[in-house]
Amino acid sequence: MKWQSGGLIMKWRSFFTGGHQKGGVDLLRTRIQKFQTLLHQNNRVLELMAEAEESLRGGFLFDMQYLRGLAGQLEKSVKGILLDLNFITGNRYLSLFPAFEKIHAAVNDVLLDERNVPNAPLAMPLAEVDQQMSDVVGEKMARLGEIRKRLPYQIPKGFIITSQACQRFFQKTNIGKKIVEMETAMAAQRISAHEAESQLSKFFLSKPLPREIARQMKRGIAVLEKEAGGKGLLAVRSSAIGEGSRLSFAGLHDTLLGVQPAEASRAYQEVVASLFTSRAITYRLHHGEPLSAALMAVGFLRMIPATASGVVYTLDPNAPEQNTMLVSAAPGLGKTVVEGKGNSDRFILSRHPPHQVISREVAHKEKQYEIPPQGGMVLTDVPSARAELQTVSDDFLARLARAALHIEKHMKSVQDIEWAEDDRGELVILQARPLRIDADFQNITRRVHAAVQKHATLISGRGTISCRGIAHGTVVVVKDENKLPELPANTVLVARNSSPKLAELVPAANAVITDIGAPAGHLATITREFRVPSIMDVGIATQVLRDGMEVTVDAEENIIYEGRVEELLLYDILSRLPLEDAREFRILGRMLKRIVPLTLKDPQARNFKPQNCRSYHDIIRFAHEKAVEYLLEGSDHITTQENTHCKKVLLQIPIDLTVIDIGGGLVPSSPHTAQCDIAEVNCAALRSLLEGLTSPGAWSTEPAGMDVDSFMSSVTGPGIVMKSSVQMPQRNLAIISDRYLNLNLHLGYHFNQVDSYLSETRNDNYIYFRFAGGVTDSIRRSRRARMISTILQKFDFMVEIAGDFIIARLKKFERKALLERHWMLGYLIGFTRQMDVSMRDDSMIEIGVDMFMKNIPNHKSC
Amino acid sequence: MGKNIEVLVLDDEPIVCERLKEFLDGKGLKVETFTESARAVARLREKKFDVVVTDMKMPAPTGMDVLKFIKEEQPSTQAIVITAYGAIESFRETEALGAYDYVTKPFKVADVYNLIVKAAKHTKKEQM
Repeated sequence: MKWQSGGLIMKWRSFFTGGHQKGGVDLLRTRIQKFQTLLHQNNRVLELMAEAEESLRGGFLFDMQYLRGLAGQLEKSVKGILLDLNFITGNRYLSLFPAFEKIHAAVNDVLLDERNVPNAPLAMPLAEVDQQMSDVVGEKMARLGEIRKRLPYQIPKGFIITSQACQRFFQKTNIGKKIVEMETAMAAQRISAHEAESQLSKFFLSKPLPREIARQMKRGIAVLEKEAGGKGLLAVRSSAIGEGSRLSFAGLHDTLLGVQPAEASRAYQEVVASLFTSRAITYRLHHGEPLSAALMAVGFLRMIPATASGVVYTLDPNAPEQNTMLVSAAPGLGKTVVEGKGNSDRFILSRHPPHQVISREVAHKEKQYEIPPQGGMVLTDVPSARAELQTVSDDFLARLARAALHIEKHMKSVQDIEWAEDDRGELVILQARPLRIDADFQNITRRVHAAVQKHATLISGRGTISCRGIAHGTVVVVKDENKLPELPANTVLVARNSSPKLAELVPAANAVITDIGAPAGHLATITREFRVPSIMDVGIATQVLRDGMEVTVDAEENIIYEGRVEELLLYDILSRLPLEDAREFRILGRMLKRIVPLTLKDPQARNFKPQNCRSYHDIIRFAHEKAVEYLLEGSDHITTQENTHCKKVLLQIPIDLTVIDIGGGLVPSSPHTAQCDIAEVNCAALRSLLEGLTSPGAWSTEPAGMDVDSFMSSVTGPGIVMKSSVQMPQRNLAIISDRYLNLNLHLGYHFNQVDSYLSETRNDNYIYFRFAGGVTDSIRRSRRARMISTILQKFDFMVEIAGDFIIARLKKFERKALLERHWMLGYLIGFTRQMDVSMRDDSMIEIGVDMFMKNIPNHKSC
Repeated sequence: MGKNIEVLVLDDEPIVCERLKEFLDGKGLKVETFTESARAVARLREKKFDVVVTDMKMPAPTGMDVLKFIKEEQPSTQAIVITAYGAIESFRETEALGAYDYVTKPFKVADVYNLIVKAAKHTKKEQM
């Protein structure tokens, strides 16, 4: 859509009522009220996003009504955030509205899109595809792309001629009219499916391929040849739209192997025409899928020089309760196994690592399919030396089993996987699709109940599930998030904090458990993206779960069991309903692409601008950052004469501190005097901080080991700093309410800023701490900054350092925990106020940290 | 568990009916689905079900009408309501009409199954 950003800004401007005309504390109070609603809306959006992502991945059922409701709620909250931000900042960010309108329009377009084919390109490289693109590239290619993108397995290189191309081709040939004629005739039993096939195929194959599609195909092949370092034969694979678990269309559409690049166009048309085979037509009509809605994407993949190929079922459909997997393998191309031509070896493997072979039938293999260099496919004799041998080694089988179960875990359903072993002995995944299993649920449920009784419950009902599922593995506890361990296979990752730094470990983990963290946080989002079951905020995980323990994580019921609860793992995989192929899921997937991705990550980066907001997530991130920034700046402009809620706090240390109470920040009984003591401060955050600052040990009157050089450096530094620090205390300001604290504190050579909000709603809570200044040389100052940052990290803060400037953030902790952090910050501010002069070398950083941790009273060390 | 429980599912969006049926069939329940409430009511006149799972927001007869019908004509049948996003308020009304419990979209199919089993037990107790 087109829009006039200027006009839009004017339109939005009219929403504002001129609150900025008020002055001083009244305005600040109103702004802070607006900031609180902004926080509330911000959390609402994060929750909605988390829920929607969960819906997409965790086997939830929903319909269009839900999607429309979700879009409406998001729109309302994000709009509310923009209005609040502009109120707070005096309309400084009206330019966010065009970005918002653009995203809003895009979300609505997705919702209105009743057709299957979104506005997509005619061709796409397989490397860019994932499961959410099944509308464009068909189910088969979407799943293959997903495996390449999210899992560490090889797939063939290739590209896809999309459903968009197919639709355009159909429109050009006007075949739609003919299809409807055939459908009507078949319904009236005037013609058979065979006759329909004959007429439609003949009609379609006689039409020339549109030039634009031919051009894209040629370009795709050229890129492929460049990547692979030369010409090669192609596998041209059908990937119909809507070919999922509900309707598998298994074996109904064509795949052509060993196609010469020059024959690609013809092969394309043949594969598309396989939509109209009598078998496919009958199948479609039987399942109530109109033929007129049929569309085909087609994959062009480089042929794999396969020495062996086959199929693996991740659960044996003949005996699901045995909990074994089934592998078929034969020399040459997989067609032998898939079509059941020629004998193949059959193996039953354990689903437990190391996946032992439970039974094996090594067949006498007479025939195999091969691709001659000129293309095509021939059935040849298996060399006699190989005919009696096991086709692949036990070692390869174990590798295949691990990969297959990993794919099953990611796809959240039992899988039917076609694989190949290439001429270098590498495993290549050719196709993966859900396998339907008819299991005796009542029997399995009974067995689950009996099995869980036999396992000790380690943790139950604590924390919040952020990604549902059941997983098993060996515990690895992350002790230092700056030194991440290499994860062995089958790891249950356990950590104290839900630090975003752990994100890189998520894809390799079977489950993630943290003591602290929220389901809307970044780490939780990543666990959902990679579908790794996770429970956050468990509180005691790092105490209870130790390195090397074998556990089963039930992130459905929120229980962690000791050992491997086999029946639970089996139940989980069998009870999942693969819903992902429904239209509603595809629409939600497309909607979330406009809502969830966060591109504006770094507030210091040049692209951190309204016009660069690409998603609702970007908008709320930007708005939150700017609102906080503005409140910090804004406190500088308040003049204290304007109000009656302004008092000096009497402290035992030489600090001149004025508080402005904007609502409940002082106790109601506080007398109308110009001064008060700490006891009259009702803002618990400020009170804790001041208690920490004035506690014994925090406020040393002795300069800490100041040597002559640094003393000289301080004397020759900016005179005003020296003067204020030595002769008379500088004026300091705190804006307080019962929940809010904005403190600007100049102490000696340093400047400290604390902005915090504490309520009973944990998601709203945060502390921002900024620190700068110092009189010594910049190296010593930066050492001190590193020391402070190390200490802050020990107290769970996320810290950024730029030279000697520190920004530390802590969000979404319980009020009590944040009060303890305020006490610690007070202590830290006092402790470090002159530390930079003692920072002679790097070893002082560690010494300083140790000293702080030793000195801080135990009960305050969190 | 779940054997011989007879369930009628009514939702005007086919995906809900299809997928619930698929899952509940797999659990051994006997399920009939309807996307038009008039037809569902007609079927309810013919046959008594243990549990009815119904969406609320539908063209007439609405979910509320279906609940009224059940309360008046087949009081031993338990009703589970599928509510729209954040419409807990309206559940209070459905509760007054005797609905057993509710789920909010998006919901886990397994949760609906568990509710059906619980509701069916409730039915049996009431009948005893």
